[in-house]
This record gives sequence, C-alpha cells and structure tokens, in this order.
Amino acid sequence: MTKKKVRFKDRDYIIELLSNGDINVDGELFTAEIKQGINAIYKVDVDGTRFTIEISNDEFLIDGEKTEFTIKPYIPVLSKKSSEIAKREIKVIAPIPGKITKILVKQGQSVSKDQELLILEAMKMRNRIFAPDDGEIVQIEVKENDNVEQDQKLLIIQS
Amino acid sequence: MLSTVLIANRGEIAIRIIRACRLLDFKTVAIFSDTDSSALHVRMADEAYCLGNGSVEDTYLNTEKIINIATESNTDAIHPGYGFLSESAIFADEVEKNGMIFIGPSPSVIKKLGDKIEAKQMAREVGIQTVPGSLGYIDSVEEAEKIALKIGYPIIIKAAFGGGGRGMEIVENPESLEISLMGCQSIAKKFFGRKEVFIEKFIQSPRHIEIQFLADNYGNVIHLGDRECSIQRIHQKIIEEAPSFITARKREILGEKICNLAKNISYRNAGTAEFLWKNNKLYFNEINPRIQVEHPVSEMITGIDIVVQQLKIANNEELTYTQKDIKFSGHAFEFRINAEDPLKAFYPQSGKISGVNIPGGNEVRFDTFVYPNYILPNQYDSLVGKLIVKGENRQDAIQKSKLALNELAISGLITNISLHKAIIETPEFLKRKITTEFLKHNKINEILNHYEKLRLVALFKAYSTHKESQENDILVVHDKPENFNRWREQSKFEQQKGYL
Repeated sequence: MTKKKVRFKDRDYIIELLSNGDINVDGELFTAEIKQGINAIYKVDVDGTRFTIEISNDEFLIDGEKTEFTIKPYIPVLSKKSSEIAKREIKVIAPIPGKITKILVKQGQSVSKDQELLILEAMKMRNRIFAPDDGEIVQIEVKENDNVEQDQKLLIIQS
Repeated sequence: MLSTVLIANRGEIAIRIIRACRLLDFKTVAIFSDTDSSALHVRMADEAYCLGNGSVEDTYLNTEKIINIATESNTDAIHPGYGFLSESAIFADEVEKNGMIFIGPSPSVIKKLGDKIEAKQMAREVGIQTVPGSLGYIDSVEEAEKIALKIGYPIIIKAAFGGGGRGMEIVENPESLEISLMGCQSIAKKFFGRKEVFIEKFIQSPRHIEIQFLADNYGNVIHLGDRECSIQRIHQKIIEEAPSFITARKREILGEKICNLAKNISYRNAGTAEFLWKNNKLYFNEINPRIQVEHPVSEMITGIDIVVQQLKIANNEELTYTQKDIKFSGHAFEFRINAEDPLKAFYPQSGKISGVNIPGGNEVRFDTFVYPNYILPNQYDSLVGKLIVKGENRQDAIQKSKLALNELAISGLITNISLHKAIIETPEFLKRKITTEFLKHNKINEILNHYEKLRLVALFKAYSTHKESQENDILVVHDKPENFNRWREQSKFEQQKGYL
C-alpha cells in the first residue's frame, strides 16, 4: 500500500496502511479495527479507544464533530544539497486577524530564529510573532496600529 | 423594587443573567455591538439595544451609551457580568448617579478593592497573609529595579486595576524588566483604563484557591466555600473545581476571616477572595468584586443559585441563608471550552460554528451562547461555553466529566475540548498533583498529538472501509452510475407514463 498525505484539522500527516492491517502515522504504529458499520456510521477501535465515525458525502464526523479531512498521494521531496539552497525569502504572515500593537524589528536588521518580531493583538490576547528562521529583515509591510487580516503578509525575511 | 435589569455584557454570562432574571420575573434588557447583532443574548432578552460598531471602547465599555440605553429602557438595575465594566468604580458610580442600582458592591468599595495595594492591606488587617511585594505603585524602571532586587527574581508585574489574568507579566531577569514593564503598562491602560502597575514576588508553581462569598445590604455575610482553579493556560483558568483540597477546618477559618473583611468594608453582593497556595501556606491575592466565570462549581456543591442571590440582594432582600445552612455535597468541575488551538500556542479561532452537540445526563450542565451556524466574532473572548459536571466525589466527577467531554462536540472551528480530555487522563490530575504550571510540566502536547493521531487513524480506517464498500456497491450490487438519482429516474418514468 502506498503512502498517503492527509490533511486533518489544519495539520499534515503521512499515513500508510501496512500489509498486516496496522496503520503508520508519521512513524507511529496503530491497530485499528472496525467493530460495526451501520450505513455510513462506523464504530472503530483504535488501540483500545472507541470512536464513532460518520461519513456522508464529503463530510466526516468523529464522535459528532465535523472534521476537515483531505487525502492526497504522497510525493516524497528529495532533499537538496546545501550548496544548492539559494537565498530564500520567507514571508511572515498573520496567523489570525488582529491589530499590530508593536513592531520590535527594523528593516535591514538581522534576526535569529525564534526572535520576537512583532505583537499582534487579537481577542484581547497579545500574540507574539517570532522569526521562523535566521535571516535579515528585508521588508516590513505593516505599521503599528494597523489592522491585519488573517494570512496578510507582515514582513519578509531573507535567509 | 426591581422590575427591569439591563445586562451590560455579552456571551454566556449574559445568557446566565437573563435566565436568573426570568426566574425572578424581572424584565431583561440586552445591549449588543453591531458584530453581535445575531448573538443569542439579543434574541433571548425581552428588549435589546444596539451599541453601534467599533472597538470594545465604543461599545461594551462605553459608559455613556450604556447609561443612555438604560434610561431609555426604564432600567432599574444593571448587572455588569464579568470582564468589561464589572470592576469599574466609575461605571458603578454613573449607574447610581442616574438613579439605578449597580448589581455589585458600592463604587467606593470597588475602588478600594481595585486598588490591589489597599486590598492587601485590608487582608492583613483581618489576619490573612499576603504575597511579598511593592507597597505602592511602580512608575519608573528604576523603582521597579529596586523592588525586584529586594524581593528577588522572578517577579510578577501586575496591572493595579486589572483582572481576568490580563495585564500580567512575569519577569525572570533584570534584562527583560523594562520591556515587560512597558508592555504591562500599555495593556493596563488599554483594558483597564489606568496604567498603574505593581510588583510582587512571583510565586513559582502555586495552586490557586478562592472563596466565594455573598453579602446583603443588612450586614449579613456568608461564604459558599472554596474552589481550586489551578489548571491554567497563559494565566487564564481553564479547569476549576469545588471544593478545593483544604481541610474543612481551614475552610471554616478562612471563610470566617473573609466574611470579616467583607463586613469591615461594608461589602455588598457577590465576591471572591483569591489566594495562592504554596508549601502549605496560603497568600491572599485579591478580591474580585463581581460574579466569576467559575461560579457554577460552587452552585453545584451548595445548591445555591449565586446569580439569583445577586439579584435578590440588589432588590434589597435579606439573605435567607445563614452560614449554618450552607452544606457542601459532592464535587464539581468546570471546563472552559475555548475556541483556540492548544497545539498552536492557543491561537484563538473565529468563524462559523457548523454544529454543536451538547452533552446531558444527571448533573451535567453546559452554559453557552453558541448555536449551529453562529459566526463567532474574533474581537471578543474565545470562551464559547462552560461544561459543568457534578459527581458524588472527585473520582466520580472525573468519570462523569470524561463521558460528557466525549459527548461534547463543536464543529467548524478548533476548540480546546481535546485538551481537556488529555488533561483529565493524566495520572497527575487524577492524583490532584496540580499547580498553575500543570500544562508546562506535563507533556500534554504529546498526549494531544497522540490523541489526534488516534482520531485520524479511526477516520482513515472508516474511510478506507467505506470507500471499499461503496466501490463494491456500485460495481456489483446496483450497477448504477455514480450520479444515479432515484427521483429523477422516477419522474422520467412518470413522464413516460403520461402523468404530466
């Protein structure tokens, strides 16, 4: 059985059904057994835990909760030699809509991975946005007090 | 006599207050921002008035607009709920100046208690120990440095007029003192209207204990026992339980001291005294002069409806209970269900809630304001509901909670339901080895990740089986094209027969 890439609740996993019936998820093995199937309602035991799965059209429900689930063939990415990795630009985007309350870096500044870049306030919480990698701030696309949409580009880091 | 109550709040607490008002036959007035026009409290109240659009300052924090609506709707009393204006002495004062009753303590008492430095002094006067820290407010970095050096790092900077876990910063070392101080001051200014902060010794990994009390307008004060709220994330409580682990004797002594404190300052209405517990010592933290999110756990073990009591007190009725009448039975938990992703640093989620499955059973309660197809806005709190469960004892309550959490499902956005499931599975939680740093010390993320994988595997298995059976169905059993539509076929058949 070939590996499949699945997207489940906003996260990606590599999943594989093994010949002995076990299921491998990102290197972790599970034993799953269908105990009952009533129309499109399945009672499934996974390592001793019972789940009720409902499948209707393109909707999936796990214990009553509608869940996003897409499945794609897995295409392995060949790792490049380090010399081939060119300078790349990383876009830092807003993970949630909110307001930029503080920008802690300047254009041209070097930053290291996990360094705090700015503060995005949403739902009364101050969310710190950190650098995803080492690099240089090449562009800042927002100002303090700007309201931003989800996925809006905030700044660009060249690494 | 009260007849009309305006609820200056939104979300689940607005619903909770509307229900209590209904029990006492009071008319209810809701207020709402443009964003909240389809909110449940608007539908449930007898009347609802719009605050317009804009930020919280323009809406739920806008005293002038709220007072105008109250006047227009012939409101007798205003219940502020929690958060928003609930601890604003200025608001309470405006309410009273306009001839209405503020459901809470008097403005001067709110002011006194809001001043955390003064509150600590009051606690010491009735023989309650307090946390070491600055005796006054801190303005400059220099002052902060001095105090911090004296009491030793780590320290905690707190908004003097804050609450609800906001406007607090822990400082581990002198290097980050300045930025934390400034950050804390700006949050304080923004959410509580005053930038004063103070410093306390940061008590590492304490447990959080609190005592609920009720005071009427005739000098009667009773307490409804204690709660433990140690399970927190980013300084915000997520699981609360009652009673806490303190002995009956300790409960009695502490309760009495708190009642004395309340009497000393002529406190009225409901309040909560918060304590930190560390190495067998209890330190007074603050008094919250309002209803709290976790009040239902005390209701469950005492049988007393705290919000109804608040309304009766505001209606100038005398408490019908004395301390002797308060009996504790069983154990209760509250799980705060937040729209947030526990695996992504608790990022708040917003958007359409496509489905809600509410658990049930004996002594299982779910206080919420969400409904199917409700669009959860992004500018307010991420709390979408509170699951409250009572059992005969702690173990029984945990068992019941597990079942209830399994039944509870909110679709369309990510919630922390899975986090609660993971927490109550841990041996530490079962043995009650909990502190406010529970989530830091336990490998909850690993459990959560594992749990997500279990769910994924179950889904994948069912999906594979389903697909297989469907393929078989199409090929062997029905031998019909995939888009086969029985109704269309039927109508074609009927057309041929000349019905149409």
